[in-house]
Amino acid sequence: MRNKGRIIFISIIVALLLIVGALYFFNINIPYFQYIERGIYNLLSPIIEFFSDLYYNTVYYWQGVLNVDEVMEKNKSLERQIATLKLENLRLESYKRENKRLRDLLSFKNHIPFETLGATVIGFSPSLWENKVIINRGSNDGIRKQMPVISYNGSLVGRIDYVGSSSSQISLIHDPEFTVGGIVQRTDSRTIGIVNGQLNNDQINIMDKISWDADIQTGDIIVTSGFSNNYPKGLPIGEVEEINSDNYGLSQSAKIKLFSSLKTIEEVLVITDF
Amino acid sequence: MNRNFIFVLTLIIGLVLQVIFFSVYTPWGIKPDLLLVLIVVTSILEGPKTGLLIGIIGGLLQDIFLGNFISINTIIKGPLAFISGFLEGHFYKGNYLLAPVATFFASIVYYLLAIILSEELIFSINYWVTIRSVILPSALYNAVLSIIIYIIFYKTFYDGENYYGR
Repeated sequence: MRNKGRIIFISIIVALLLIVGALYFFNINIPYFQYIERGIYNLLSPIIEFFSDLYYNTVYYWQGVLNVDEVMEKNKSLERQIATLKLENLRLESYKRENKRLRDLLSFKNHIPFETLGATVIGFSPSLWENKVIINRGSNDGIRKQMPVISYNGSLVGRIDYVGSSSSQISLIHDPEFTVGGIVQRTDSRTIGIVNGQLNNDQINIMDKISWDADIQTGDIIVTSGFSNNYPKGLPIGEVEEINSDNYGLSQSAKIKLFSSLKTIEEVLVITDF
Repeated sequence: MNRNFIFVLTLIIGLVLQVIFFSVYTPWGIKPDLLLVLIVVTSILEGPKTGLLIGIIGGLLQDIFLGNFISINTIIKGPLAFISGFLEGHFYKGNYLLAPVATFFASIVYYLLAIILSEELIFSINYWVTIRSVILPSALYNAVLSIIIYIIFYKTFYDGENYYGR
């Protein structure tokens, strides 16, 4: 009798696993499941945000207390830097006005900068194979799937992969699933290729599908090509570190050292109007 | 309080710790999988039925925080916890070596299956390098964490119960 019960139990489990496996392999989305998924995500992400804030505030507070001399020294140097930057800003303001005047004279189309939204990283991916971060902005703040994400120095960080109501997940540029079109920034080259992330390497991406006779050199800056309409044109990705022959000499591939330091990333900007 | 409820609560605490701590501070680039450790430890203490439940819930939680509802983690961790659960009743519970050994082998199986079931990874990675530099160190890290978690669980839920099985 006990054996019979066990056989029924195991059969139910196997059947359930087969159904779940089929849902995964055939990529079937059941709408009802999506509501449960969003519900659980939206329920748990504020807990993660709360503990993340608590943890980082405590760490930063103690870092400040323990390195008070260093903090004061840094503060002084930053104040000096601000004074220099204010002067430079004034100079740039005059260039901006001059640029606008000349553009008006030549009837050029106005360059509109992107609308961005700042976000704080509250957590990292709980998986060995996927490089994602969780940020504290979601659909309530106007975040949508596929929006490009940049760092404060303007380089590409990734794209929005999943949106909850008050938090979202970013697929980072060094994720093995991440692909973006890249182009050499040098005006006399404009070589194109596909930039891919690598497993367990947060510093180097691989740019492949480069034509065998393309003009690409070590030290070249790679920016987004903008051919795919998924990313704006000209976002910096990284610098060419090494060039290798690929596909038995039929094409080339390059190792790209990324500009964004993704392991310690704390704040990002989401481009909301692209 | 229902013991299963407490185990689910530890999974949520595990997820929070994984996301804000263990995925950020990775010594020599080694990232553990705290949820896998919790699932294996719970299974070898509680048996296959509870193991399966905890395995599926843990896998689902992890998948939700990777942007998918039912994905690789649910599919692998459920059966893995169920199989680990069969160790319950065959070993002396006061033996602290069982948890790290079981976690080490379960981790290797989980990581290899995750590669095989992922269309992005299966043909694109160098298996030998991945096993040597990612899978084995992470499995070892998981094994070390499992000793701590096993001792905490054993002292909390089974203090004084030194017999075989349940």
